[in-house]
Amino acid sequence: MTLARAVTCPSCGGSIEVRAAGYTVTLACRYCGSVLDVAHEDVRLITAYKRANANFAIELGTRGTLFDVEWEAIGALRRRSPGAIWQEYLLFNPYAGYRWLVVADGEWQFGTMLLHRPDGAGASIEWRGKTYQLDDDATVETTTVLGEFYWRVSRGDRVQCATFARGSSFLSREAATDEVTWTHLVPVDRRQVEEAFAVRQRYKPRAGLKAIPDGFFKAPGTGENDLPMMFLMALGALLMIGIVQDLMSRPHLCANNRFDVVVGAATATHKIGTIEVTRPWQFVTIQADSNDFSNRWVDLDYSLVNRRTQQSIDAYGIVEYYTGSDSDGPWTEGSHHGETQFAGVPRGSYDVYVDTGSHGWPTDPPANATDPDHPWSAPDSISMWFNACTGGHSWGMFWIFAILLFGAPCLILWRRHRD
Amino acid sequence: MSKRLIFFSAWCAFLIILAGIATWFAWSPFSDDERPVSTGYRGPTHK
Repeated sequence: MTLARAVTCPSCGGSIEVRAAGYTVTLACRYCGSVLDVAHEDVRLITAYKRANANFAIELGTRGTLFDVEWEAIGALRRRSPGAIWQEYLLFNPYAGYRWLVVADGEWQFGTMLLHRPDGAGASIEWRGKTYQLDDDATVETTTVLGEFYWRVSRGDRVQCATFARGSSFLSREAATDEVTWTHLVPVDRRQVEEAFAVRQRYKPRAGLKAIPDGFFKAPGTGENDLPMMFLMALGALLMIGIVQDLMSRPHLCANNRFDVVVGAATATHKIGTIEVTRPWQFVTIQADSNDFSNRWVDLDYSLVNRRTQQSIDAYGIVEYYTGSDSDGPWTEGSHHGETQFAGVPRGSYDVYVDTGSHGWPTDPPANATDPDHPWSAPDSISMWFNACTGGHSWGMFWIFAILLFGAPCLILWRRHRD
Repeated sequence: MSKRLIFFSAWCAFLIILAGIATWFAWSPFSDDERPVSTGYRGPTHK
């Protein structure tokens, strides 16, 4: 049907068919996504980008009959304005010329370029004796280019686009630096397009939502530009969660104490203090801090003993810090601080105990070692300070909620920029 | 407001309520438990 010729992509060597040879100026390689200038004999490589993928509703090269004419989809654009994102397909028939097929929010329009400009200016124009009112006027940017076109087109192109409406019929005026083009757009039934061009399944409305007028379905990559609002809502909800966690975890009642832990000695039990859990359930957080030490670790086994029932809730923690030097230079590992959290502690009065045991790395210092030169020196020990408090909240939970909140808008953002 | 935004608002509200319930019961999967076995030998692990 078309006067086709083949060109070789200078970027990847792939052989590409030019379906509208003689008309086509710009062609995107279907193998590597490079945009080629086929108006020149040597086929120039205009620009190359890795992923001019086929994330479009209609696969290029597909033929379909609309309005009793068989069209071939030869080019596809993804474009956006401040308020919307949509896809446009350039259709070609060697006898009928070019037409447009535009899809936004799952709705399809068939576009015909006007040879005669409408009369009038401003918010109201006349075309073929009918008045069209200004509906929208915005800067439109081309974000993805795929296929071939009869003019030079590239990603990032911007035009000023005004749309005039009369019922379901539209006139679109696109003003670039050097020319103004008009297109007449009429609605076309979604099912008709789907049958004619074998629209990819994932761009069709889901079966269960077909009956809903103006349904929930949004074609991927199209739809209202509500992403900034979604991020804002996610941020607001996360702040709210932080406030809820903080307010509902109060009050903070604390007990603290300080002990010396002898390195290499047997495990010793200490009582940190008594705390009151005044809510039905609360977190109990124990902070452990130590003086400066190296190449030691301190095992900490905590117990909350209910003073009324004598039942115990146990948890453990560790404080460890190591230093050394190797071929990569000096290194450190660990911290002089540790935090242990009890979850779901029921209301009651609790004695807080800690079993401490400290050891050296790579070996313990000799037990009861005495230096003949310093016979009165103290044994190797670590000073530990403990602070046990009711309340507090789980940062792990906070970040899980952050992921759940920002997951959806991030996924939508990724799908948009995948193109 | 788009339907997607309405759905997302409902999702945000659901998570806020969920956070409130989890905080009320002081529930977290990240709490520290009883030591499972005896300590054993420790030391630097980055090398």
